[in-house]
Amino acid sequence: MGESSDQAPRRYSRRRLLLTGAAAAAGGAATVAIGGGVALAQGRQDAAPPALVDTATADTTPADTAPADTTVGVEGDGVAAGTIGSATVPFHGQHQAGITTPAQAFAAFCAFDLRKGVGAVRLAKLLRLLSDDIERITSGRPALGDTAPELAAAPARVSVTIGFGPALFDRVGMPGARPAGFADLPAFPEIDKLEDRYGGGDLLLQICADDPITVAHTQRMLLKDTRAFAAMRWVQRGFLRARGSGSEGSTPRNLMGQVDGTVNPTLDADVDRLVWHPGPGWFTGGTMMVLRRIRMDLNAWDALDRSGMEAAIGRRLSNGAPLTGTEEHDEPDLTATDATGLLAIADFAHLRLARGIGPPLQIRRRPYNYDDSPGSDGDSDVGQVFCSFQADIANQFVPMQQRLAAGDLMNAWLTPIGSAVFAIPPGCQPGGFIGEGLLT
Amino acid sequence: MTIATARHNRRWGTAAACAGALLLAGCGSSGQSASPASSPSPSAVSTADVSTAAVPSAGSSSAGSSSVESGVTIADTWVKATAGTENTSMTAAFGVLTNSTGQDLTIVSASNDVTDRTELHEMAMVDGAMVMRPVAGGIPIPANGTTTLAPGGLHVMIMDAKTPIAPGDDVQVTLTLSDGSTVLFEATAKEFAGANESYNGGSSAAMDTKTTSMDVGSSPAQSGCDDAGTEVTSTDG
Amino acid sequence: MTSAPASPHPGARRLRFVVVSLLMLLMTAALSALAPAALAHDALVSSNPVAGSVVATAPASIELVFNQDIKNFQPKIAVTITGHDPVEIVPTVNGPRVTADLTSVDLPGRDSADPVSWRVGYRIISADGHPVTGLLDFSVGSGPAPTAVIGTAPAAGGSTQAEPIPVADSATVNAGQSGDPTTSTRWWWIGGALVIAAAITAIVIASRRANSPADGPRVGS
Repeated sequence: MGESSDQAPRRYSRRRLLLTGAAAAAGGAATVAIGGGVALAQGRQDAAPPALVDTATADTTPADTAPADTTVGVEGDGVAAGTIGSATVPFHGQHQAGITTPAQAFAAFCAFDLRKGVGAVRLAKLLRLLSDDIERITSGRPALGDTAPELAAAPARVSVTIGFGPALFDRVGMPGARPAGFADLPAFPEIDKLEDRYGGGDLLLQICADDPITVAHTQRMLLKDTRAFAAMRWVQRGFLRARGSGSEGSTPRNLMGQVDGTVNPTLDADVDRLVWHPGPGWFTGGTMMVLRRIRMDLNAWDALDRSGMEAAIGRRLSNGAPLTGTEEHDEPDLTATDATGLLAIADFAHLRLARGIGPPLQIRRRPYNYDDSPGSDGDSDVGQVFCSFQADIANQFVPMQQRLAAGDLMNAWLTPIGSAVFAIPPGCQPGGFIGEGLLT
Repeated sequence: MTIATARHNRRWGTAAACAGALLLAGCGSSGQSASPASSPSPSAVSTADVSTAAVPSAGSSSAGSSSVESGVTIADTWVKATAGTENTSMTAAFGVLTNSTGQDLTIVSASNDVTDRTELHEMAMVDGAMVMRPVAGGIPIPANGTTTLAPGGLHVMIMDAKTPIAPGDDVQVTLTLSDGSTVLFEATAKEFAGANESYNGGSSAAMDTKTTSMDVGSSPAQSGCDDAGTEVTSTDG
Repeated sequence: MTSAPASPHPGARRLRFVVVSLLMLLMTAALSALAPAALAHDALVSSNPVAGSVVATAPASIELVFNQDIKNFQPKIAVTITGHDPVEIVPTVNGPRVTADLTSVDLPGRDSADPVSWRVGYRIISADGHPVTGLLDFSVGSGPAPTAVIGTAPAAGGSTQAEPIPVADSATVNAGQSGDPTTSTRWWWIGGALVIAAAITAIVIASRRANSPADGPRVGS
């Protein structure tokens, strides 16, 4: 890892120095109580525990002289403590939120291309602006200059995750800082039908929340601060079941009806090994995102009967159990045969190919569904915004995708139409900003 | 308690203060936390103590030669970016002022490090239209209270700018208070479609001497993501 | 207080509507129960050795012929000789024909002196991309024809007991098996629907007689 942090001018160290003092001095002024934690955080969380903390909605300021109050809490629109709307995910921490955070119900992935003339210095300014916005929004406060601050009153576990595309490092004159193993995915000619409108990008904002209005308003505020620096490239929206509709902590189903995402690293040691970049260098504690838009041909899928679907997946539709087991989390027996004498989990089964042989190199999957307007033929335009996080795309994601591209029977019904990768910088501490390790 | 922020309260300082308090998710702005009910005792802040607080590096004090520290802090500061807008010569700075002393104070003047002309403005109804104009007698900050500087309300007007202020740029502003103390803060520029009030120049007594529009409403023609065009409404100054 | 005379009166009309709807529903149900058979994907039409047959010596190859072309996508055949573990073979695909050459395959139990049952399992991908799984049995050596009970090697980890043959496409259960259970069920549905339809028709006729217009305007309608 050759990337070092000394390639960018150290322009902001003074700021951090000052702020540290401010934090220490002013910390005691906060009077907000911590509400009861919402007990749905599962698995592990690390230094930036996305453990859910209820926001005790702060009282508003006394009446003051300014009629248009755009910066303080909003009277009358606060959400009750302990509700889905009041829950928050901390922004600060060793890692960014929105990675190991239990998936929120709604997401918007926004990709941008840096404008001409935006180099390291301007990018740092953008990231400072965004980090400030995110810190406020994720704690249930409006961003500065929010003309609709009432819409920020329900954080609903909103998280914003910032990512850098492979070309960004060149654009800001720091090609050496690109993390090892981080590059655009190789082509998968057997399956890819990629469209430009869903691929690439210099900068990514992944906005997730349990409330779609929170996602929309957060997106609006962040786009407003981003547009002077970067041009919109694409937005992909996704959704899962609304909170409260399904059982908490259960593996979501995709729009084909499959339980999707059973195997996801949850143990601390696994996450450390599989998700977080070990360092050294500025990227320590970061991760890499693969985002693929995968269209589902549901008409053709519908023609398949249930047992055929299950054979293709390798799991039962009813509960996601492997075909060799009875419960979702039963360990699949990849050598078991059925009455025909053939492998019970077929060679072409998605489960078998995704898993691979040898030591498992899992990825942290965090997919969302999409459902766009049907075409004039009335066929549904649905699919998945596949999103995964891994410490090393080249070692973890690519081999798996190559296996799947070559042999997955599901390819008959799934078509990747968008592809992008982003390096997700580590988190930041109070007073810092996302990407500071690269740009300061 | 608020010594450091009194001397140098920046946007990041606010964030730090909030997050430093046990990562409290509901961390309010300092305007909230310093409301009369919960503010520290005024006696806890004396101007004498303050001089020992975080000393800014040389570069940051260019905006003002403050001699007396203030019992007033400011948080949530920002300035409207003008780059790419029609009128890049003027803009405004905003924030939430908290007076943690027991006496009413007034901002009597202001300066900034970008231009030579800074005014304290209010919004007022003149001939049936909302205009901004210099506020007579300065901007009051009640004892143990807060005053919000916001689009459509009281604000620090930065005028005669020679160059546009781009989003992400910092502007340093110094406020001088009626007790002789100063508050220095840094405001980061943000794109903002509102705050397009027409400017009614001159003193508040002498009306209608000059009217220009601080039209910075058109965002840089980019992406079209924000269709807000929000108009700030206000009913009083 | 009598409402405007309706002819036929609303009650009868409503009843007729219900009956017609029910009948249509039942017809639809019956037809759709048959539909899958009509839409069947690739199905095994013949094999060599023939399913259920007795051959004198161990075959050198196994050939399966389907009713349409097979996709050459990971075709698999497993041969299980009674008392031995299954052996997986990758066959060649040629149009609708799938051939597994056994000459170079190590098949435990192939040289058994006693009559022995063979089971051939197959999993292929039909032309429309659907996985088709099935099996057929035959016997090798002189002796009685094999029963359906073949001691397949117990699956390590075990496939589910409820589905002794987890066939991928129910419409393509192989010819070697007796009666397709799914099809039987289907006929039960059709029969039941017809019986119910007849019963409803009878009830309607009876009820129409009882409510004939001669009854005059009904009270309280």
